[in-house]
Amino acid sequence: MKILLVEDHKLLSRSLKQALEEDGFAVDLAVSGDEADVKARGSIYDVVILDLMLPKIDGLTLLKGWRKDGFTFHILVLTAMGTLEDKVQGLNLGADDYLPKPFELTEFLARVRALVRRGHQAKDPILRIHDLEIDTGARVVRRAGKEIYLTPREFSLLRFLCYHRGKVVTRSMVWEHLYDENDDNTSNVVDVYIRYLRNKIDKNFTPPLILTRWGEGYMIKGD
Amino acid sequence: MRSIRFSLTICFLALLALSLGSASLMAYRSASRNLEGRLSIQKELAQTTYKDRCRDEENRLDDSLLFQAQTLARLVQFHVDWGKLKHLELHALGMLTSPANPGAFVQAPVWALQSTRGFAFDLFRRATPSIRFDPAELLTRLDGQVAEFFQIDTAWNASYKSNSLEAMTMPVNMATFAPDDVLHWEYEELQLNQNLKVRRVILKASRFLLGPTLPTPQRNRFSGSNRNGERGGDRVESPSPRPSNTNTDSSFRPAIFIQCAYDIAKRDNLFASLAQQRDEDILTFANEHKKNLEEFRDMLAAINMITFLAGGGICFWLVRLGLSPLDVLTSSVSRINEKDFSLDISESKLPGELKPIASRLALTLDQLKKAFEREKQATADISHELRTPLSAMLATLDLALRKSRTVEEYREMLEDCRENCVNMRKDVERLLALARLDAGADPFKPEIFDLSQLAADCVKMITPLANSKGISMHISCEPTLEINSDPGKLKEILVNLLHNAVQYNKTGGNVFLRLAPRPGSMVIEVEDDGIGIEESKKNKIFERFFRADSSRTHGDSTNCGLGLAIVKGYAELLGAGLEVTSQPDHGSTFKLVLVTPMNHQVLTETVV
Repeated sequence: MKILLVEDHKLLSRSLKQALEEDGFAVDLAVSGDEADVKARGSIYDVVILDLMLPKIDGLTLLKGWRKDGFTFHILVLTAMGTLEDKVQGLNLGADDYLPKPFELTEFLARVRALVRRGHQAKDPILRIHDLEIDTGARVVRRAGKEIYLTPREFSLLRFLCYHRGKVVTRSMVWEHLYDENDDNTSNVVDVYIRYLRNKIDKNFTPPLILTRWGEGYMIKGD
Repeated sequence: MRSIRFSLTICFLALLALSLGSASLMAYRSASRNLEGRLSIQKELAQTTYKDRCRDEENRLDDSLLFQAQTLARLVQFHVDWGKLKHLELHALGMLTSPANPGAFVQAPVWALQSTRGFAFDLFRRATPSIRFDPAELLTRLDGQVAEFFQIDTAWNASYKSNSLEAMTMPVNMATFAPDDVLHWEYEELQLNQNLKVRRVILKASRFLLGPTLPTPQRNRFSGSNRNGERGGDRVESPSPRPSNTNTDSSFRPAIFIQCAYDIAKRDNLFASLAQQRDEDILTFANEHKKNLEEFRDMLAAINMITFLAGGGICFWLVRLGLSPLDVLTSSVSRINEKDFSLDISESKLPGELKPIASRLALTLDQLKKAFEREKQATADISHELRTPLSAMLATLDLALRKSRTVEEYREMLEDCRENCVNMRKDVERLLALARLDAGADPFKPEIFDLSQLAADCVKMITPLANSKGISMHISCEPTLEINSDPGKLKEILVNLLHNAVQYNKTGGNVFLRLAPRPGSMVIEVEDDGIGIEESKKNKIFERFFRADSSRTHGDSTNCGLGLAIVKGYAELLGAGLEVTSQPDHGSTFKLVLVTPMNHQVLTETVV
């Protein structure tokens, strides 16, 4: 799950980025309108978090441009202008959600998660595969009723696989969605994390849920 | 004034009523004067007519009298004793008698006397001592005539009197009455007795030269007439016709005097009836006059009413027409709301009187709109400037509390929050400074101080930032420059200008601060060789929250675009002129001209 955070306030962007990363999202940062535009058009994001008052190009212009050019990522608008008109205008221009500043971190994260779910046509915040349960809201994973502790990266990978259940997920897909622009790791790191995940989820349980398709990638069982 | 329409209509109607009233009054007065004139002319005419008719009537009566007299003159017959005449064998006379009734009265026309002279006349006189008329004859001859009284006198004492005269006699002085004329008549009025007054004509006939026919009794202007007073001076008294043979013996005048008279009461009755008719006419005229006047008045009233109503209608329409642009303006003004400040009206459709209002209104609305937008923008900016750091702090603290962290992590987050707070405080102070400026709560506090010292302090404050960016600060001023101004605000101005000069500069750039005393003023210049300001943005840099080039990508995020707004506000408060000259990529110069008396000192330059 990769998120583009467009915010020019240093402290805010740093804190939000950290919070999102702790929630298992890969976060790219943009501090100006033009930078955000370049990044949004050049990479695949699940959600874009957009501040409206930005240097160079303002948020609403970016929003219009992206929607006009057919970008379908979900957009959460963050703004200090919290009047009804601003909200309506933002939503009408193609935003998916609107969060006026100042906001609580928990609400922000919940809205981001909701947008991610929506992006994968999932209504239930708890993903269930066989006897595996992933509570995306509480960030808790259980298998056969037993709670399993996962690092944010592992959680993120599992969530990504679950959202694409029954489909083959390539290493580059995983890499693109789970690692931000500043990660120097190659796609080999995906194999390492898959191994970690298997150790935690499949090792003591049957049947194994994470399957390997040689030459293609990985897949989690469809049912 | 309740309503222009109402007032205009009332004024117009009042004016209309006034003009109609005065016009009507004048028309009525002139018309009534005319009618009065006509009436008096009519009255005069009636009077004249009356007089004419009286005169005509009298003339008619007079003529009638004369005619009777003449008729009588012809009919005078002498009572001839036929036997005596026969006895005298006056065949000549006897031949005159009518053969039809021998023995009857012999008719002897007057002309017969004319040739009778001397003896014959004596004879004749003796034979005809009396005159009498055949009453039947007389009646047939004088039928329908006016005369009631007849009297015939002769020079030879024969006379005749009509019965109506009874005992009365109409005297005539035969000796003096037209002694030379053969034919003469005169009219006169005569009081016969107490009750009876008559008008008579005295006709004297003596020698008739014109044969048996008497002149026709028409009113002959040439015949001698001596009409009495009523005729007045309108008739020239013409001499009586004098027969040419006046050489006849005047001692013998075989003249007969015939008098015919009528009772003047008869004429007076006639006159009275004429007068009555005249009075009736005059009354009719007066009534007619009154009626005309009334008709005219009614007509005038009707015309006035119609004109007033029509005028009222036209006035209403005109006022409506005249005020319709105002309605248009009103409706378009009423459409203005906080979302739409445009005046939806084309000025070309408005009349000249309203154009200044409309254009002024449009201008004001435009300014209002701009102010409104600026204010909205400012509100948004303030919101952003305060809410964003607030969100950042909230997010950071939430993040810190989310799970247990290492001491270093906590420290880092707390330090971030502190820095954020410090920045927020600066912003809040700037906003408050501007708010105080706007409210006029920040008074000008002048005192005498050393500007050089103040400038040095400011430079010192900025130097750490300048050093961190590798920028050199240069100050040139006199050792002491004592001026009288507000040092607090001047310091704020200088710090802001220097801060900006450093902020928008390139690494290795220079910032110059120059204090140059001029007669009566002090010029303070802050020059940098940094990025400069685009021409299009030069006017905007003093606006609140304006950033020439997205400051947050340059340096820290503390600058929220209020610095120059404060500089401008303070400069205005100090009464100082503020100018900016700039060239993009070559730097900007801010020039502050303080009007203040000061001591002129030697210029020195120091590099800090």
